[in-house]
Amino acid sequence: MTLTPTRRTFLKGSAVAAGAAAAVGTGGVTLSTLTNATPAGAATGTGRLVVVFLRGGQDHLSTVVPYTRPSYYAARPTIAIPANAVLDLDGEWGLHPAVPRLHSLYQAGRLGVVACVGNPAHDESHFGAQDLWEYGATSLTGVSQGWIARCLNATASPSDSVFRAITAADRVDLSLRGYSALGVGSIASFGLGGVSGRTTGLEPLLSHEYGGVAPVEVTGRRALDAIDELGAVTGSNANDPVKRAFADLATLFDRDLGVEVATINTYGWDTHANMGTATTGSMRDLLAGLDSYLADFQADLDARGVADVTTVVMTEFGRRYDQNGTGGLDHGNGMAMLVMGARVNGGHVYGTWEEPVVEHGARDVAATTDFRDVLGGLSAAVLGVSPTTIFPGHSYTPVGVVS
Amino acid sequence: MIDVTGEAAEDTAGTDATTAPVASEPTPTVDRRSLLRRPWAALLAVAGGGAVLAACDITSSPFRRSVHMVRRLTYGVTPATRIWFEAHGEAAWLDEQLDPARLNTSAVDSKLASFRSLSMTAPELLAAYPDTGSAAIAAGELRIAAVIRAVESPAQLFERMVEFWSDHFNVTAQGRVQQLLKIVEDRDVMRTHALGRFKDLLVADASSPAMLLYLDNYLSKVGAINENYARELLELHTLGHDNGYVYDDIVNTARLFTGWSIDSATQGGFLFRTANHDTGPITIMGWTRPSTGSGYDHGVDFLHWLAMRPQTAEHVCRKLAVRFVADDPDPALITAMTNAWLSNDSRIIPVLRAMVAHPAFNSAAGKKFNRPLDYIAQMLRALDARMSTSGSVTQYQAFGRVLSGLGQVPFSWPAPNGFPDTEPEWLSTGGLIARWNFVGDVLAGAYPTITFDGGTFRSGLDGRTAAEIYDRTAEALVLETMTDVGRSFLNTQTGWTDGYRPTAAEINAQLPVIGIAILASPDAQYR
Repeated sequence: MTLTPTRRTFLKGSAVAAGAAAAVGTGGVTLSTLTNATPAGAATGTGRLVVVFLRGGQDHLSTVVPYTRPSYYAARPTIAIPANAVLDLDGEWGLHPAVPRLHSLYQAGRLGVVACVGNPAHDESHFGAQDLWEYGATSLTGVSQGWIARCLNATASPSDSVFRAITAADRVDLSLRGYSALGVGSIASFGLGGVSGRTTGLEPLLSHEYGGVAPVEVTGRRALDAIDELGAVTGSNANDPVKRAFADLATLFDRDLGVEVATINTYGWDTHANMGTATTGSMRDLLAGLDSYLADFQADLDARGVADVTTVVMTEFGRRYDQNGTGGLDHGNGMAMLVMGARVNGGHVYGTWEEPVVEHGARDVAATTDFRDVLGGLSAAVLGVSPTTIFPGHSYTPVGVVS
Repeated sequence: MIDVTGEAAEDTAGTDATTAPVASEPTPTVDRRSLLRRPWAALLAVAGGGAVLAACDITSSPFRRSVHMVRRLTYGVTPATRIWFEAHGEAAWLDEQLDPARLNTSAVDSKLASFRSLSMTAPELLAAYPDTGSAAIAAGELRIAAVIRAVESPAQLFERMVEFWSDHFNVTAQGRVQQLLKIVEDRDVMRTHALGRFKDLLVADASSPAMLLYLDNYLSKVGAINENYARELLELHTLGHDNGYVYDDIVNTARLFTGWSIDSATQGGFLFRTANHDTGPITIMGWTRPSTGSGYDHGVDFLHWLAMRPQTAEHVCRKLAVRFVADDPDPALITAMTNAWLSNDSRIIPVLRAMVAHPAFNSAAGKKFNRPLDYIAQMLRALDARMSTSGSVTQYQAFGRVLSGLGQVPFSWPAPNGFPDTEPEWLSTGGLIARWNFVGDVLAGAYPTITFDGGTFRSGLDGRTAAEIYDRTAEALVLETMTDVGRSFLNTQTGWTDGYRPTAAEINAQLPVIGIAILASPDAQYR
């Protein structure tokens, strides 16, 4: 009994990464040397994408702060971020002081911000809104594939690497539903043997059993193929599962495994109460964590000479404009999206501010940019798939945050 | 979850993005290359969806109906369950499962007595576990207890319902106080009301300090409300997403529950804070605040009203059917269950009886994908395994990492909607690898806190032919027999032929391979 020959493919991306690595060298790479290292030679649609989903509904205005707006301070008497504390972006917006490393990336032109993004469906249920975002839709009727899956299926070929799409968790994200994505909770446990280390005879046995066409068998076979291709790659042993997952993703992107898209999640953004202030409390802690996850990840990619990865950060909705009675924010609408890395036109805040109006009985951050315009830009600039393919019927308006 | 290479999405520009964005997935032919023969699966599939007479076809094969029923309503078939079920029959077995007081759970109860946190009150817990490290150990006892109860308790359907409600009213055991209050909630809310009336469970949950803390309602005051609990009460706990309420209803629900709080003297008990309660007129959908009674009474009245909404009945019954029957349950089944709910004052037992009695209950036999806890419990029950409560913290932490790798550490789901329930949510590469490794590790005796008597399924194999050994092992572990293909493949692994009678030493050497082949198989991922 032999395994299927492995499908080690050099997908788009790896050659670019190698070129970039050669250009800047893998040793002694610093932020400043990469500051102006535009992904030279990387034509539109030859990049790779990481999608970070902040589960729970991240507050826009605590992260990307409209610090010149009096109405913002009036709406949030105890939780607003003081103007003198923000890290200025463009004279109109500032970042929360807990994200200094993201601010440095912004200043270096490697991070861009899209303010006031939303889904026209304006679903304020976590689960309804997450489904719509991940399906890239304004209604779930008739939709069967995630938005990233649609991108990947549009350019799929039989030689696709088994690693082409990954969720950095054992359960694959809905945005990849409809494409054969891998769930890799951690590299360290992605192999046969468990704690007993018993592997003798296991692989041919499983390979035989998982040989058919039922979904469970196809998935099992892909797991075996992936184990085979992964070989002896050392994964992270960090205790923090998010830190570990980002470190593992950097490792996977660095290998010639054909990774093109990865999704990853962080939790805890449902800040209904006691958000705290600019210097202390749950929002500060969440953002400090995000700052370190994202900046560490980018630094890790830089150190490895992986220069073709674009990272986008999203959430299911932004929160209310007005703070509630318990020092927090209930579910709202407009969110801030962050884009970092290869294809970003960084150092700029995109999107349009509008003063909030009462709608459905409450004031939300006005969503002035359709999320499909941001996702469509990523689809085109990073994955090389036309936005009209991914979002048929939507009149695509480029945002400009990627190209 | 299938290979869709070449299925490029067509450019359908001009059509509504909401209705036709992509080519739909091709439907695979489900043709698992089974090691195991399931002659009865086809029978049940035909019977499903038919009239009551079709169910009689199943009773002509009572053993297979019993296997299906026990698999679905329990965490797996043990040798003892089989003997009992076959002696007394389906009706008697179900009666007993629905009346867990009749079941002798003393063995598992006395074993769990060594997890001291499980019997403590909130003030006792807060005093005994003063920091995050110790609270995590207490919560660890609750998590391990859930696995032990799934594997060892005779009150199997009760434990399944406790798990169902723990998902339905999810509280993430995270952070010191919330972890400790979850221990109280599990005992005093979920375990107290698991087979009772939904309306009582709903009130108990609404006044549970763990839930009040988790969804912030304990802070909500008149003129300074927090919508978190109110929204999830309507969306998740009762009516269903966007199912008949508007934003004003959420706000008014939040107003109605102002003052439902936690006693700050101990942080551990429910307290209705009259001064914080909004006493104004409130109308929520078709419900209007009564003119008499206390603000607390009005909240209870509204919860009772909500519990008997047809939308609530339909929403919760559908979730029950997804848990116990099929990922996409027959609408007629949901209707039957919903009717039972509405005509029995939201009592759960008549709903479960309606579900089991409905022909559609049989329709997806062998096709419901096991969640991780289902999978490991099914296997450990087949092995008649015992789990120790006297292991070291290090050993339990190691086992916790295994559960984490499998994807289901009890009470750890990070959002109010609970662990998901369907195959597309759970079937993944990493998940299967973790399952395979678990099988290998258990059979290798790699977990010091899990023991089983290998002799139980080793016995009776001496002097048998290879074919008989395969069949008997499959029968013992998963109540199936081998297909020709399965036998032929196992022969390539063992070096035997069907008619060969291996020596005792050869059986000992090959039995783990046979066991792994059966327990790690695609079939074993389903129930």
